[in-house]
Amino acid sequence: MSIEVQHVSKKFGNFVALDDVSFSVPPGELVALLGPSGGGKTTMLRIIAGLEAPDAGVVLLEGEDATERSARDRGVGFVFQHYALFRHMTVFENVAFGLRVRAKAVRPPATEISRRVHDLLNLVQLDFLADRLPSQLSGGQRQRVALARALAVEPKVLLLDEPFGALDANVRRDLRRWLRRLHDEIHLTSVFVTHDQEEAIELADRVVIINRGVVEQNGSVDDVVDRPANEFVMRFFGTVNVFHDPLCHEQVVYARPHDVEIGTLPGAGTVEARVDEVRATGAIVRIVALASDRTPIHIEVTREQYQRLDIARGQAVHLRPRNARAFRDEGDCLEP
Amino acid sequence: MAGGYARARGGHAGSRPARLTEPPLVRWVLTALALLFLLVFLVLPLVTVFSEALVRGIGSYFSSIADPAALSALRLTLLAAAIAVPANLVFGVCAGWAIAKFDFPGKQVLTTLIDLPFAVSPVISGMLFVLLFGRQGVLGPWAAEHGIRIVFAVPGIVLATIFVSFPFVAREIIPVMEAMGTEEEEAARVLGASGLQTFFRVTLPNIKWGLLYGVVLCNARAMGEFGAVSVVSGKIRGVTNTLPLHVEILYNEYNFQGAFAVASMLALLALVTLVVKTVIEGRLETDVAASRESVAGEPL
Repeated sequence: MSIEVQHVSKKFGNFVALDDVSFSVPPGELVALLGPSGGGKTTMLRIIAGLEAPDAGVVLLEGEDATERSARDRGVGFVFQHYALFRHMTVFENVAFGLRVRAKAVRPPATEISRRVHDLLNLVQLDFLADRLPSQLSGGQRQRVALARALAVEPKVLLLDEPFGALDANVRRDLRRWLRRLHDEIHLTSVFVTHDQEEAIELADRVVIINRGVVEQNGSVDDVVDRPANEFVMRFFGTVNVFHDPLCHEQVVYARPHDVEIGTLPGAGTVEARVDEVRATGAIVRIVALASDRTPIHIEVTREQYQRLDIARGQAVHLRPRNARAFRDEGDCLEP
Repeated sequence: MAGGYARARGGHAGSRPARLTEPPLVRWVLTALALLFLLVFLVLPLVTVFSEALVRGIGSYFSSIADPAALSALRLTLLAAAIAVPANLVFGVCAGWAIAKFDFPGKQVLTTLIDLPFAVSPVISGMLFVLLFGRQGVLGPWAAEHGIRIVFAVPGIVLATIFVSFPFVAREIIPVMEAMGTEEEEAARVLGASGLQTFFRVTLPNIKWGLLYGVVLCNARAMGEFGAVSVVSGKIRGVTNTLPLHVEILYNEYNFQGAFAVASMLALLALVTLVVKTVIEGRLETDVAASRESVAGEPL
């Protein structure tokens, strides 16, 4: 099922959580809502689920306006950041809940419920814990129970709020891969919220970057990493160096550390800098050089290049950005 | 929570090394003082009630209890509690739900209003109902026109009882509901549960021990209330006397044995309440601890 968000705005008192946000999720894709904390991602997810009402704008599910539809009737599965498992129910009862509360006419018989719950618990590899209470599970196990519970009602859309936020690093990495494989198996249209760009890159097909309530960029993982739409997106995905145009100081270009050419002799369009720090551990050597105005420039070269260069701390080097990106047209300085 | 902690620690006190604890003399003196205090202020009065009640033998005791006026007082006390407790259960849950789960203008005012019966002297509460429903009162003439007697009749006693025992349920469940948060209810809603299903399957199981605890306290207050009921009752023997009022009347008539016999019934009710309360308290502690753990147990 597709999701379409059109011109959604939401305020909490004076705080603008979302300002005219639009994006769409094609059927069967896994999309990340990525951005810094407090940027409005979770509010967006809750509006799609029907847990929050937008002040303006509409949410279409499968082409139909669902803005006025209650959360009960949207057919979405929601995995809460802290899982929100029913703490007085066993794992089995948690997963069975969505089926048990159905109206008699559409409620599966008890044997069918039991079969489906066990199937789902097998899918998340937790069938052996069916009789435990949530408090007896680890964080990663709770997370998977929450997922099984959301899937039990056969939702057309799966929404996950910071699904790995409360887990430690190792568990997080494993669960991430596992969730990606699961998505490839069941192809459920899914949206997850994260503030971790690595998580978004590894897991998602598409990324919607939301910052301060507005969409900064909406594109494939390659798009946002290799073709950032603006300075914010560029900075969000890692270290960025700023180079001022030698002819016109207003004109700035951005380059990643691995996109900075380094040499010991000046050339066309090079900037002079002094080596301040060299970290030569591992395959990639990281160099920090200070430009004439003392702004640090981060450079990454391979070990081979580094050995060929033969540079040391305090030495003068000449830098040139490669694949540099410019976002602002200042217009004050036109090309001669 | 503190009780559970103290109990858990207490079990090991005997085996703790001497340098970690007080000298034996200090420990004995403090313990003895505490026990003496308990004896004088709690145990002795309780024993006195029963011994005075039985001073003229068991036969006299039972005939005092079986006295029609005493039985009528017992019935009225149970009736008042039987109406007041369910009413306050419903009001308390509604108020607690509204305060713990929603934000609305005037929330602070409502929270304060719930505590009003605690803050006002029971005698004043009783007088409020006399002023409201008495012959010169605001609503008195209207009630009289419709043939309803409130003051110096059973309805007045029930109203006064509801008023003074109102805060207990709400006070007990608000913290439990707040600790629970709203996420589980949201989860239930997304999974397709209706409002009633969410309440009975998700909210209620989480607050049930807090709710029971509130009900027990509410019941204890409803049955033991003297001041407010005394003002609205008119003390018509066999008609508008509750147990506490009947005790007073007997005492004022110098029928000490009868007064203590009736008082012993109230004391027994209180002891039963205490036992139930202790059992529930244990369960409540486990529940609140569990909810703390599941809310705050994970790193953010």
